[in-house]
Amino acid sequence: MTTETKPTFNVVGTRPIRPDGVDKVTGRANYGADIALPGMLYGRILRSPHAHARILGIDTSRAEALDGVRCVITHDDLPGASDAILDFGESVSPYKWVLEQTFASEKVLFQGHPVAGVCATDPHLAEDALSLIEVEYEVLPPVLTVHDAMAEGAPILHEGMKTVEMVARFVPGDGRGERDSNIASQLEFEKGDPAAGFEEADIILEGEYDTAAAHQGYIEPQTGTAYWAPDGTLTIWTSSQGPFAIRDTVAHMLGIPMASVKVVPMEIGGGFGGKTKPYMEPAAAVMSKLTGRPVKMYMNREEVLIGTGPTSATYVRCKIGARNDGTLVAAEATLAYEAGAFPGSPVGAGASCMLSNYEVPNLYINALDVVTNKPKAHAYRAPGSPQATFAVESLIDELAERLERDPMELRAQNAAHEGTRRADGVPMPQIGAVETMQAAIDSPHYRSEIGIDEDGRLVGRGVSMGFWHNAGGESSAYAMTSADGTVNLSVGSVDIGGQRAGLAMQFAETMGIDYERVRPQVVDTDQIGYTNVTGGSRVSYASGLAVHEAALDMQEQLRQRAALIWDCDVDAVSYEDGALNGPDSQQMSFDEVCGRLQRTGGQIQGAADVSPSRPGPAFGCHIVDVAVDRDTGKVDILRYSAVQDVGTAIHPAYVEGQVQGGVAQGAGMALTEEYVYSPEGRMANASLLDYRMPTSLDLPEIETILVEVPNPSHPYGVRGVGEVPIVPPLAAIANAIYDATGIRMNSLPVSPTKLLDRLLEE
Amino acid sequence: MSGDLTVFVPIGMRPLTGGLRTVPASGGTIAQVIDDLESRYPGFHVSLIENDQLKPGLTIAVNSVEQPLGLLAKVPEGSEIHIIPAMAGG
Repeated sequence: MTTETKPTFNVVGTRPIRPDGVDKVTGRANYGADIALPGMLYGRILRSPHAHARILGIDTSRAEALDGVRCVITHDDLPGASDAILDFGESVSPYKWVLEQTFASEKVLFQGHPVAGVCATDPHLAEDALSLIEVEYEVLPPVLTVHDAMAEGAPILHEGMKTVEMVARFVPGDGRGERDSNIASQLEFEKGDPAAGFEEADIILEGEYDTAAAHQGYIEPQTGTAYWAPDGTLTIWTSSQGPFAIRDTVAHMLGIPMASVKVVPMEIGGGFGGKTKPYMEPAAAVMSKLTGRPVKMYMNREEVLIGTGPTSATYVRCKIGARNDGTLVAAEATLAYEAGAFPGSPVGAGASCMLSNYEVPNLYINALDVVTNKPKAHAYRAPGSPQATFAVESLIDELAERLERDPMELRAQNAAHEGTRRADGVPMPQIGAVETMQAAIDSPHYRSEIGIDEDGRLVGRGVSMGFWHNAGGESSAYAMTSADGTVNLSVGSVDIGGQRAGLAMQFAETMGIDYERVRPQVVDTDQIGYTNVTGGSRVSYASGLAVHEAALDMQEQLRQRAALIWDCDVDAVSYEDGALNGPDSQQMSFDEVCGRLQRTGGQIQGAADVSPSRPGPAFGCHIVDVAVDRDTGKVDILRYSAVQDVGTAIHPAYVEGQVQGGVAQGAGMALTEEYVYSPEGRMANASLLDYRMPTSLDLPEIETILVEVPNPSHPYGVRGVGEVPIVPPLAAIANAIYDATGIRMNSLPVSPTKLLDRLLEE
Repeated sequence: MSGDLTVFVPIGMRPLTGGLRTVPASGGTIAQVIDDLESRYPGFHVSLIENDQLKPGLTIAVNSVEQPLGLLAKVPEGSEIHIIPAMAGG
């Protein structure tokens, strides 16, 4: 669907084959664990069996004595803590927390917390040696929920930690309250006059909602291979979303120059935000330094689940007020997100996103970042937004029912538009919320009848909106010509979702040449300027601008060469549609001028480093039909449609894939995925057999409707598309379950057990 | 130097402004705006700046645009300025 007359493109909007596709489907592509180097050793990690315990002593002597073991390391082998704040591109973390997460020093704070590492000649030997390390613990009571963590007298995870305000975290004297607290920080947003807004309301609805921790579920476990060469340079091979974030962090941790660390990005088997920070790379580097040999480390699935960050489990209390005509007049919310063992949940993003779909003149949001004895929460696709949106969109659905209004028409009545202030007060730029809602209303799915299930199950339909900011940030690119008119395009953005193809397409479009003439590659950190993470839905936008600017740089140099050849002023030469035009109607194609570069000064390269900041927010609206088995509580998704403003779809097939992937993950959060813990804080379902992600058998074909409201700050109108589709499924599915059963499920996931209990109660 | 600017004060910093939600300010760059605020509401400088840069984890939006140049960003006349936490994506 197109919402306005668009410019005609030659390459943008087509669906060429991705250059990395064949290698990936035939198994030739090299992922992190595929690396093999001469003399390579293997590292394994000893992890805490306890969720909360004091370390009284670590005896590594028996492990070190085992034949084949080359070294054993602990926290003591890492450089000391400092007050530095590490910049991971999109986010920051105090160095002391990064250090503690790599290896625990005085306390372990979650089951799976690394305590020691073994380096040996064989991975199985290293595994065996782990059992020879003796750790003496004083087990402490664990804190497993935000409610427990905030309760009076709760065990304190971090002695000396006091609540700080998230924005003004460094205001002198801040540190709210005198006592130590598990609430690491607080963020408040206020707009208008919430009290007056609720006074004005004819109807006020309120609810409490909670969601479980869910893992990013990437297929490829974390890896990290390091070689500390005798000349002091360190090379790291890893499958990370942020090679530069890894480089800078490891350099800081080990006290070596950033320029001495090279990170080679391997192909990456999914990340979804979970691979933006280091886990094993620092340990592999230390082991390599101690042994003088390359050291390879990788996690198994259990380690991934217990040792790497899922998204937060959350609690949200929310209240909305509206007039009888459906106009929203006020909202209020308290959010408490689990950060896991160290501060830093995505509660701030949840707070800023949850009401951004609508014009709400008066609001107050109180967001709390709460530490618990669980793995440190990590970014996960639109971090924080799905959970908070679940609360708001459930209440909007209730409001529509109370007012006897069509749920989409009510949403459209209150839709955000250009100039609407977000919760943090910042006005929206040109956005496509209204267009997205209207496209949903007009969609074949929404206009269809739900029908009756032949198996006698209860059927219902739900809808939900979703919002995500999207991001910009630093990206670099360069492109080199060859005499035959082909181009090598180098970028620093790791390719997770078809970035090679999407960036080559934008470059080809700007140059006016065929896509097939551009050979894109992702290069290591020694070969490209600083490039922020592949995350935040930023690559097609920011790296797209980088390749566009690199193409313009190339065009400028080609104009100069043409002027030399034609013996004219450079201003008399123009570049258009893949050809140079000069005086007297002279013309040279891109191929022709490339063929003459060699003897006019040599081949050229166009380059660009950019840091754009107008990514264009994204909106999605999802429609879902479900069937509920009243005997088992099982929910099946019968039909699913995802409508999304994508700005301009550079490669529509990849955009559709991103949308479908987001829906699948959101459906998992809604129905099946959750971390289950014992009272002692041990994860009871740390395998993909028991941690239940949706499979292709659980989902129907997900229909996509791409709305294109171009981002005016990008030459082709690109908006980020990858994250927002995970936002609406939680509420859309819960609303559909309500429509089917009359039961409002405010706790996710809606497992069969949970729903059956409610069905039996009714 | 631009005058007639409006700074939206986050709740956590309102003790510095005596509870005011917005305050007028002047300055041609973010750094100058913060200097101007500091002269009337002491505490802004140490709250927002470290090592001559905006502190990590903070961002400044001028009108609706976050400013990657931080303190060096130009501020057009009549602008709205928001101090907000940086948000990470996935």
